[in-house]
Amino acid sequence: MDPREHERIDELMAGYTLRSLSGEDAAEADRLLSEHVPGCERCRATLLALSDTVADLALAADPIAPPETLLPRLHRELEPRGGRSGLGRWTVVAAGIAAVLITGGIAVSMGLRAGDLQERNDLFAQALRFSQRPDAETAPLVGSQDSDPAPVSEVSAPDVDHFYLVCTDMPPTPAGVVYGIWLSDGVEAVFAGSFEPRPGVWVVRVPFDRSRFDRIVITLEAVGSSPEAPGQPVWEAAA
Amino acid sequence: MRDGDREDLDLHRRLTAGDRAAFDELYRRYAPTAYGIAYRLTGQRLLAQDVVHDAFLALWRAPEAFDAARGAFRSFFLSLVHHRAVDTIRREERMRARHDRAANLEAVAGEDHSESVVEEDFIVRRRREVREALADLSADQREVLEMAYFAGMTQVRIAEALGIPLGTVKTRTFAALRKLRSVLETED
Repeated sequence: MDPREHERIDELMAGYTLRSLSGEDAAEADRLLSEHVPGCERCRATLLALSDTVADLALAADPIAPPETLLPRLHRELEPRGGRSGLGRWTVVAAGIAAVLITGGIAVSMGLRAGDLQERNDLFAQALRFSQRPDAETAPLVGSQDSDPAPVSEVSAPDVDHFYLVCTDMPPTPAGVVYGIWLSDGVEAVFAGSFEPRPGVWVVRVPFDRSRFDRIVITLEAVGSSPEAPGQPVWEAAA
Repeated sequence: MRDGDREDLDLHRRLTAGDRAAFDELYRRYAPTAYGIAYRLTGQRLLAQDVVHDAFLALWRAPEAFDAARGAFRSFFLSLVHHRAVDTIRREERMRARHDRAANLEAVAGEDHSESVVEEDFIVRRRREVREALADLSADQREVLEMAYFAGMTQVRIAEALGIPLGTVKTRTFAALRKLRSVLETED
């Protein structure tokens, strides 16, 4: 590769590690991270060095003792960890096939970048038209642990090969973690795909007939994984 | 690998197995730094508390997100906190009000909260090294880093605020990080 091209990538990676890219630069960094960086030893090393350096910038701020109430609050929310997920009775069907379906099937309205505007509008329009079907139902999910209302609702109709999730200000996931979508018919579980949360309101199109399943669960999954069992459940809904 | 990094790895391994004592130890090590950076970015104690709370809870719920092959635990966790803090301030859309304050290092440096915090020696040492390395940057380089990292501004907004081309912001940013890296590497 032309050394000047690597200099351009270096600069993009610097902005990426600082979380300061937007618009076309953010899209270009995403493309490079998926297409070029994994196969380029030089860029992988640069990204690692930049990430380490940026992380250390946190130490430039004065440390402050957090409120004494914070650790007890966390203790109250730490669920026991007995292996993956509280959905132990689930089994996974055709995980490999599900992964193929995800790659080709799931669609997310990104909502942030100009280049995705048309796709975003199309998905919103599809979800809106879908919700106006006489047999369509809209139902909010609830927290798996606390039954609180979730920032996501499902819009589905019987015997249709897809349904929609409408998300509003979903909380960000940790670095390296995305939200996963699992569907269960009470006996088997299917991994329907994963997505990264975005600010604002946006839509996920899930390529499965919701009426075939009696439960949907949003979980936390590692980026790029094809999980064989549901991760930590966050929100869910029964049929 | 530094001693502190080795201990972090062991604590993370225990946390992954569900050891709450390991969680508490990681909290003791990193909560003051996490709260300090979250407060520096958000400028509000309640928001900073939520950022730290969410980061530690995410660590407990998805410990596999940390991959030791990709760097130190400290880097992973402090990046997680920073990303959450940036997302928070962007969501709150209060960046403009905070920018003047956050971009002014002297004003923030005057708020010394560190007296009440007891930290591991390796963190104290690294903190000193990072601050010295930052002080060695040119004013121009330090400025773009502070606006990006401590004010959570995009490079486009930095260019607008400083009245300089976007390309100059990119070049300065990378040059600043490269210089920081070269100084901090020699300290390892």
